[in-house]
Amino acid sequence: MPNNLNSIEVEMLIIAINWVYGYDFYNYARTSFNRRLFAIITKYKLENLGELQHLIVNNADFFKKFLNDITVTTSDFFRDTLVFNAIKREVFPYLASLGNFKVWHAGCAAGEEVYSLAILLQEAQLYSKAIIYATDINSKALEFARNGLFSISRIEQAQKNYVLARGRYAFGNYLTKSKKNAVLDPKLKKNVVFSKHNLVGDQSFGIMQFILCRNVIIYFDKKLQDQVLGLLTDSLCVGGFLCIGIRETLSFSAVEPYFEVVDKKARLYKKIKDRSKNNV
Amino acid sequence: MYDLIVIGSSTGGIEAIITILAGLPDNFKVPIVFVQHQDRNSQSNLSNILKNRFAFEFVDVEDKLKIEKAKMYLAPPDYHLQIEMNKTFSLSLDEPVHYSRPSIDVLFETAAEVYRSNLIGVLLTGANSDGADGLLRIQENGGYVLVQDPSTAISAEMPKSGINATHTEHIYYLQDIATQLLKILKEGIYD
Repeated sequence: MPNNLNSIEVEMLIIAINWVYGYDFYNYARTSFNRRLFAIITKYKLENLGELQHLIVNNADFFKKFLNDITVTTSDFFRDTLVFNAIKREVFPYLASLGNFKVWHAGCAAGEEVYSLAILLQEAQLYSKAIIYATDINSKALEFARNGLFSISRIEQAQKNYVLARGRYAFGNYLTKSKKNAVLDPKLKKNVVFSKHNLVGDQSFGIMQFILCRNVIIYFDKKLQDQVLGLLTDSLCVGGFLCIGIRETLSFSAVEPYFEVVDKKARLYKKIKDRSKNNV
Repeated sequence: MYDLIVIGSSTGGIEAIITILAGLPDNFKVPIVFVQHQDRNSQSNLSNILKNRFAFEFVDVEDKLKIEKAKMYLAPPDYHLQIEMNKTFSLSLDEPVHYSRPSIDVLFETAAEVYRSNLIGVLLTGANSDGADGLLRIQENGGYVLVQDPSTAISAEMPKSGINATHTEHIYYLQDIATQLLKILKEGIYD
């Protein structure tokens, strides 16, 4: 565990990565960032941070692997089922009142949340009106998400969660199982665009009616959280909904004044006004 | 002077925590952070049990919360609980450590980094070896480490691993742990 990661070396690595590749990790929450650096050094059997930096700077293919390793995220189907029940109760009636609508899963990882919501939208007969953006900085996770491929070991928990989220039918209806894997019904991704996007630095790409960004900003420090929450806020229409992780909060954030709390436990918020152009 | 106490436990931990808290005065000021291994969906158990039983101010940790005196912090289920250099909590969904998330090792190691010799680490009953490496790190950084006596613990493996890792002699029966904490804090209790 990281007790020999010199913080000066970490800073130098961050500067080098930003300089060469334009990815800025400076305001990531340092503790988990350092732990992941240590895990990467161990994984590739490197001696120290200096060696890691040298590899990264001189080998773009290695940097791609590094980028996937440093941003790995895990997720579950219907993670925190109370959230999905709150979404059905509070957000779906709003979506039903609209014509077409846009949903953005910001930090979609391997797609578990995307497919979970797609299933519920389908069962509520809202899916056909949806345009869903699923973005992540991690290209490996995106690939899995695009394929809708999941390990069989994940499915049992997913089935339990589906029931708790009061799914109407059976989770198995949406899968084709083989010995090792399960593939989600391709119809579920018909209206989904999977795309690489970096919440730190990339721009907004449109106005959404519903944004989910759960267990993403925990990896950022307070300053970066405010910046990213600002991006999400500006990408959301007034009256639209934002959902963040159940241990994250908008309280004391820069965007708190622009939202009202719809369901505190589920961390579901509704945007009540736009940020003025003068706000930074 | 001690600014933080971190306590890790697993099987049998809830009863152990209750026993220790029963021995602390109502105006206990040093913040305590608990990592109790729990099933994903049972957060309400530990949190509600303690809140119903004791007058202490228990906090279910949220990301970026600042550590404050006279509060007792409970790790959320299924997140790793970490402490940042600015003495706030951060969370992560990194891989389980010793099959555990939250992992006691993760809390203890990050706490040791920040609080160094101003830290007390306590390892209680539990059925795996999560926490042993973390306890050692606390000790190496000058903190005080204490382990529940394995022979009377509901589950001996965790405290035994802690003793093997640190060779500490601060081994106490559960009912004596609170007294021992108060003794070593005597100079560090505020107000």
